[in-house]
Amino acid sequence: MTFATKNWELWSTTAQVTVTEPENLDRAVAIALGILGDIERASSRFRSDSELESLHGKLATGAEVTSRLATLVRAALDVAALTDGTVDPTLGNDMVRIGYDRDLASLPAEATLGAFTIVARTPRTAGWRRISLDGQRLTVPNDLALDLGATAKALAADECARSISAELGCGVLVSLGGDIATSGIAPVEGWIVLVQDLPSDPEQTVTLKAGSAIATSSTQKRRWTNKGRPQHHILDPRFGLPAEPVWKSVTIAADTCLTANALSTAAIVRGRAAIDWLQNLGATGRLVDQAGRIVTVGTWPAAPEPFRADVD
Amino acid sequence: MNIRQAGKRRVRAITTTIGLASIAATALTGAVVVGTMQNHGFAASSLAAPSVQGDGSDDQSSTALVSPGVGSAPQATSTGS
Repeated sequence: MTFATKNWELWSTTAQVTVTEPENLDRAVAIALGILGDIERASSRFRSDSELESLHGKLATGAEVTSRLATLVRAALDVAALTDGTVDPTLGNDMVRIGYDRDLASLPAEATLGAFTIVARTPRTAGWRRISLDGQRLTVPNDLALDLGATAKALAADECARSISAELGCGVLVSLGGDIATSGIAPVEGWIVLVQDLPSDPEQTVTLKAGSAIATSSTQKRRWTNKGRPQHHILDPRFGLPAEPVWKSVTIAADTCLTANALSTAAIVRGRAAIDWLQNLGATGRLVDQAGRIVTVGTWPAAPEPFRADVD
Repeated sequence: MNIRQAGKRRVRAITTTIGLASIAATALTGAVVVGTMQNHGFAASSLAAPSVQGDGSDDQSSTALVSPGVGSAPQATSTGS
C-alpha cells in the first residue's frame, strides 16, 4: 500500500501526518492544522492572546471556558487521577520558576548533555485536587497556574488522527514530536515505528497495531540552562522541580496517545518504581536507563539479537 | 486501554504488588539482569495482558499493541520531545 507524508515544525518540535491515500494528504494536513490551531489558541502558555493566558487571575472564583479548553483540562485531570497525581497540570508557576517561561527555542540551550544534579527540594502540595471543572466552569486557586503541555499534545494527536480518518475515510498516522496516534486502516505492512530518543540511544523498530498509539517521554530533550543549572521539562510534582533522570526515555504503547503519554511521563517521574507501577497497570512499554540498558513491560516485543559476524 | 479501564485494572492487580516489586527490584539491582522482563520468565501474565480484546486464541500478534517491526522502513519515529 502506498502512503504519503508531510512534516512541518510545530511547538519547537516536528509534526507529521501520514495517510494511506496520498491524494488525501493535503486535506488531512488542513484538518490537522485546524485542530492544532484551536488547541494552541485555547491552551498555550506562550501566547498572550490564548484563552488560558487571558483568564490569568480570573479563575479563582470560577469562569466559563470554551468547550475546547474544558476538554483539555478534563483530559489533564483524568491523567492526574490515573497517575495518582504524578502528572499534574498545575505546575505552570513551577515551570516559570525554573525558566521555562517562553518557547523552548528562545531559552538558553544546554551546551552539552551534562550530569543532572538535584540540589534542593521543598515538598509541594498537590495542586490538581484543588482545581475544579464543573461542565465548562473552571476554578483554579490564585496560587496555581495551569500548564497543559504534558497532555494537550497527546490529546491533539489523538483528535487529529480520529478526525482525519473519520472525514476522509483513510488510514492515518499523526506524530507530534514523536507522540504518535493512528486511526483507520494501516498500510499492509502495518505502521512501522522506530523507537529511539537520541541517535546514540538503542533503537528498536516495532509494528504498531492499527488504531493504537505510542508515546515517548525523555529527560534528554527540551533541556535548557537556568541560573547555570541544567533543566528538563518533566517535573516531579512533589517538588516542582525536574524529575531525577533515572530513565533516559520511556516509551509506552496504548489505545490512545493520551494514555500512552500519561504513562510514559509518569514513569519518568516515578523513576525505578515505574517498572512495578507500569506492570500493575498492565501497560506495554520500554524503558531505557542512563546506561542504555532496556527494561520492557507487558507485551512489548523483545528486541532482535544484534547481528554478530563470526570472529573465530 | 483507556484511562478508566487502566484504573480498574490497577485495582485488580494490586494483590500481586509484592511479587512484582521483588521482580522489579531484582531486575534493577542485579549485576546482569537488567533486560527484558520476558527474559526473566515474566512474560505476558494476566497483568500484562494485551489491552485490546482478541478472539481468545493464543495468537498475540493479532491483539498486541506492538509487535516486532518487519523489513519495511519506519514511517515515523517515537522520540521524546
